[in-house]
Amino acid sequence: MAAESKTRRIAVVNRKDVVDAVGEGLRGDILDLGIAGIEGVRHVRLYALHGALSATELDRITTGLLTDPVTQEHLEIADGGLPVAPGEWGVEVWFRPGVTDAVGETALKGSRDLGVAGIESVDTGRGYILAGPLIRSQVDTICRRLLANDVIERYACYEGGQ
Amino acid sequence: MSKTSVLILRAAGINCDEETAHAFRLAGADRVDPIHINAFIQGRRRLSEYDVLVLSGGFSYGDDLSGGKVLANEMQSKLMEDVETFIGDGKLILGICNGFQVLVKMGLLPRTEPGGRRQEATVFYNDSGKFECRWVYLRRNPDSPCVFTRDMPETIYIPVANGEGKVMLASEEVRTRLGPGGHIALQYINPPWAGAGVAAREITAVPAGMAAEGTAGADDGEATGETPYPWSPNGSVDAIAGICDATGRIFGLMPHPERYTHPTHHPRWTREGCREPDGLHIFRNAVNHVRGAQ
Repeated sequence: MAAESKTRRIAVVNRKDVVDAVGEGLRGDILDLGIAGIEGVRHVRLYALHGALSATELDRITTGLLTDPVTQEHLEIADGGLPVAPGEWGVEVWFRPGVTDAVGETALKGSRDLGVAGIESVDTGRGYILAGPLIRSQVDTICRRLLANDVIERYACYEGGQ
Repeated sequence: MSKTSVLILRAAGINCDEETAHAFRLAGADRVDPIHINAFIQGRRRLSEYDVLVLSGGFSYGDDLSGGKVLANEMQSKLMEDVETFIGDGKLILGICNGFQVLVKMGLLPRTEPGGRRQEATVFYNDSGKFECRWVYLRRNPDSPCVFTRDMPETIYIPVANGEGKVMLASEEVRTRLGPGGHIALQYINPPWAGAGVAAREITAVPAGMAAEGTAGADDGEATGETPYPWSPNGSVDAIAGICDATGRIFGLMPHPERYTHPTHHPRWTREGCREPDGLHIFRNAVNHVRGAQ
């Protein structure tokens, strides 16, 4: 039976024993904003794959293209968002509709190079898992001033355990 | 004398092709062609026309997903049969910076078992989280079968320019196979002048089995098996800067030898005088090997 066309959202993150240089740099930037409660930041690469993909094809894209086999791992995320534990905040940043997504175009080309014909388009985004005793207004400040460019991007943030 | 023909493979985002072609011409190659990968995928040209295949530096496909990944997959899916024939014919492959990332992610390096295609390593983001662009000191492994570094000085000085230069291995088992096979052709080392008296505890750390000049016995004398930042610009395992396969004919390195092919490229040439450029030596070795093999 042919696969149904739908959107699969994939999160790619460094393995826990691999240095997250982007996350560590952002932690310093958040401290520079005067938000002392930040304890850690994990950087996540987000992909929304649109198309009719079989389980094999999805695996081919995620393991053969989007995830480094030595340093990273991936998971499919539901509409509920990133897996965020109590005491953490999840942030997703995606382009606004109509903004050119050059990385998405590359991911589309890379998927087709792997022989995945059913892929129709790819959107890319960034995710962040913020650890520490933060309140929503602080997370909003972090998003607006650091993580997202409001002109071309939209963001969503949510608290773990809610 | 036999002719030497070199292919510099181009793709979207590659930006060191002309400098690399210039380096090979300086080294004496008779024919150097920078040609786009599509010419080979579409069958208009063939890899078999050449003696040396070069993947030069740059940011293939923007390094959008990770350094060299998309080009590596493209070559694997569309050119791998020709590449294997090229290797089987005893020809040379050189990957510089982005090209090194491509070779590693294709599974062609370190390729500890001839014919293996498993990705045994990766090249990941620098520990510093920054793009590192400066000159570095390297130590050549005299026990390596690497064709490209043959007879070079023990200490080499050339620039790096990368954001993803950290070599990491898939397992400890892969690591144990690299040393005996001489796969680690180049390692980052402390500069010769950073000896005793300069932050001794950190500076004395040198790659396993390799004593940096002027540092032995300083302070606590305990080598950690790593060359510290900034001398290793990225935090590579065992300070790896360049790797070859078991035959020594496939070689990749993060630094840019094509950026030191004239004596005046050296940042201190006016004070220290002109010397044989270390980078040019790598290209000459390739050309001489081809001539000797024909």
